[in-house]
Formats: sequence, C-alpha cells, structure tokens
Amino acid sequence: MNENTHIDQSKLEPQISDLINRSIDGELSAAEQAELDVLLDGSKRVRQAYEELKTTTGILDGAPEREPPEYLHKAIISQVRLPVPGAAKTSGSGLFSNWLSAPWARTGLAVAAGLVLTVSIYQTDTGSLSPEDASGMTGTIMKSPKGVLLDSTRFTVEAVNGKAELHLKDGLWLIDVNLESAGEVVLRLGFSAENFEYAGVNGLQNPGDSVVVENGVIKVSSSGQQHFELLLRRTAALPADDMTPLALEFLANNVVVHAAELDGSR
Amino acid sequence: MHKDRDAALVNDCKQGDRRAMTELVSQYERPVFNAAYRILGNADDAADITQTVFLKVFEHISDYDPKFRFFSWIYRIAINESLNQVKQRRNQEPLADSQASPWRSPEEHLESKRLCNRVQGALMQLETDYRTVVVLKHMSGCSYQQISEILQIPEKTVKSRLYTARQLMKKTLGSREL
Repeated sequence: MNENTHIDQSKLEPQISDLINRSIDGELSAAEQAELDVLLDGSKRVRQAYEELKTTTGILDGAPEREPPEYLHKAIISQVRLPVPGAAKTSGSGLFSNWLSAPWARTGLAVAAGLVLTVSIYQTDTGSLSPEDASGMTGTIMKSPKGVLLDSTRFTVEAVNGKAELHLKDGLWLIDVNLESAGEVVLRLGFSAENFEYAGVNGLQNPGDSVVVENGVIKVSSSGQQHFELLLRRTAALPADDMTPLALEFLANNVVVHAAELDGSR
Repeated sequence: MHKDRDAALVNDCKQGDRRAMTELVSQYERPVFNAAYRILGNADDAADITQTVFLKVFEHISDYDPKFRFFSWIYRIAINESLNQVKQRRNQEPLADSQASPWRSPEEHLESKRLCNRVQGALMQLETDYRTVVVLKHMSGCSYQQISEILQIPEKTVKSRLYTARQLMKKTLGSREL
C-alpha cells in the first residue's frame, strides 16, 4: 500500500493493528498474511509498528520464569486431601439429607461413613490473636506449619480413617482438623480449662457447621469435606511440656468412632 | 496442557490416587506460581496463592467437569485468586520483590534477573485486566481462544486488551531503554 493512498485512517488503523498483532501471535491465515506483507512492503510506518511490536513481544516472551520456592511442592502435597472413594459430599438440605433422615440409613452410615480425619496441634505465636481474629481467617491458606510434632493418632474403622498430630511452636496451640465424611461428624476436644483457653476457629466453611465451647470442652459439628483449625491459648505461664493431655473423640451419629489422647508433655 | 493425560490424572484423583495428584501438582505448580507471580509481583504471595489454588482444585476435584480443559480450570482459579489478592492490597504499594532467584550461573543470574525485574516492573504498571492477558499470552503461552476460556470473556475482548496492553508495555519498556 502506498503512503499516499487515500485511506480512512480511523477504520484502517485498527485493522492494521489487528493484522500486525495476530501475525506476531501466529494467528493469521495465509491470505491475511499476504495482505499484511503488502502493507509492510508499502508503508514504512506499518513496518516500524510491526518491528516495535515484535521487539516488545520478544522481550515479554523471553522473560525468564521464576523458580518456585523449594518448600512449595512438599507444602502442597502435604496439605491436599483427596476424596475418599465411596464417600459422598453432603449439605444440610436436599435429597441426600432426606435420605439420611431414615433411621436405617443413619445406622448404616455410622459404620460406612467415609471419614478421613487429620488432626494436628501446633503451638505458634501467642500474639494478640482473638477468637474474632481466628474466625476472620476462615477460608485462608495455612502458612506451612513449622511446629514440632509432639504426638499423633491414626485410625481406620470400616470406611472411617483418621489421623491426629500434635505440634508445638512458639506460643499458640493450633488444632488442625481435616475431615471428610458423608454425614455429620462431631469432634469433642477436652482441655484443661485451668491451663488453656479457647482462642478461636479457622476454616469452617459449610452451612450448618458449628462450634460450642463449654466447661473445657470444644464441640465442633461439621459435615462434608472439612479442614479447620481450633486454637488454644495458655491461661498462665507454664513450661511448654506442662500440659494435661487433650482428649479427642470423633462421633458419627452419636457413636464414638475414635477416641484418643494427644499428649504434648512427652 | 495435555488434555487426555490431564483428564486421566483427574479421574485417578477422584478415586483417591495420590500419585496422580502429585503428578498434576508437579505439572502445574511452576506455571501456576509464575502466573501468580507475574500478576502479584511478589514471590511469597505467589507461593501462598499457588497453595490455595491446589487446595481448591483438589477440594473440588469431584465437581470438575471433564468437558472443560483442566489447565483452563486451574488457570482460572489461579487468576481469580491472584486478582482477589491484588484487590485486598489495592491501597498498598506493589510488592515487586528483588529477592534473588536460583538462576543457573552468575552471568545468567544477573542478566535474567535484570530482564525479569524490568519486565515485572512494566507489568506492575498495567491495570490488572491488561496485566492478566499479557501474562496468559506471553508467560503462560495461551492462545486467544484459551485466554477467552480461562477469563470467560469474548476473544474479541482478549485481543483488544492484549493489543492495548502491548502498546502500554512498549512505551514502558522503551522508556526503560530495554
């Protein structure tokens, strides 16, 4: 195209721009490429625009990738919980909920509930974390916990699997719970009210989930796939290993499917 | 972006196969991290977002519809999480970091780091709509159609944003004498 050709700039400029951009991206047909070649041959301005854009995209394409931090892969792998085959997700309403209301189904579910539990207790910075602060963390990602593993428990009952770990780090105790079940599961956590106070919960997501704290017992009701943390704080300055074991019970349909103590004093 | 292989791995994950999960993480950890890094300009935030993305992906793996491409799904989550993070810190200064990366040799390190930082600096000056399409096109290697699928916007809009973003980048990179 000759520079002196009378053209409607307002219409042609976007067309030329489109051709140049799509040419650089390798998205032109042969006919379109031929059209652009004519424009490039006939216009210094078009050639200049093409070269400038090519330089810019070359810089962008050549920008080196960043290496992910070394810890990242392990951190992801260790936190991912996959579905348990045969375990269905539920919510508080709907067809499945109605099905669960049948007594025979509930009894069967107590045995067959696909349940995966992972419980970890970490001690972290006491800071000024309030129950409200902790609740506000709901749905956020856990930073890779670096706490020391103190105790753990694992169980398998029929289709019910569980694992509990006790970690310790700096000042605040985190009880990290991963839960997957077809129906409601209740976690009862007993702690010495003289030594600890409840500091909050982080991560409960499903409608109908609840936390009740009374007389040194935290009761968490949840269903479906869950990953949450309970937080405990010392009420008095005590050595880290001076603690009464934490009593854990997991119940499905009012039946205790697993009970254990996590002892950080060992 | 191997559709059939990804579909098979996702199917295995739905059956609780952790080896398949590990393979998917290995395959997509780096591109997800880099996409997040380019949008956020901060490696620590990008690492957090990457963790969040994979936790969400596998939490909802049973809901994944195989008629969509897995990479589009994971990229969409990565972009949305990154943009949410940008919104949360909108009133803060961009956290483009200068932390050294494990480049392969001292010379490559210096040159790569210089280029990486300049490009990142220019990217951070773009509005997030423009930044996102540049990242997906030039850092993630997506086609117009794939970007359209990931961002759920028409291809025409993808091209329009990309062309404008490139013009803006050209000016910024040119002014930095790259």
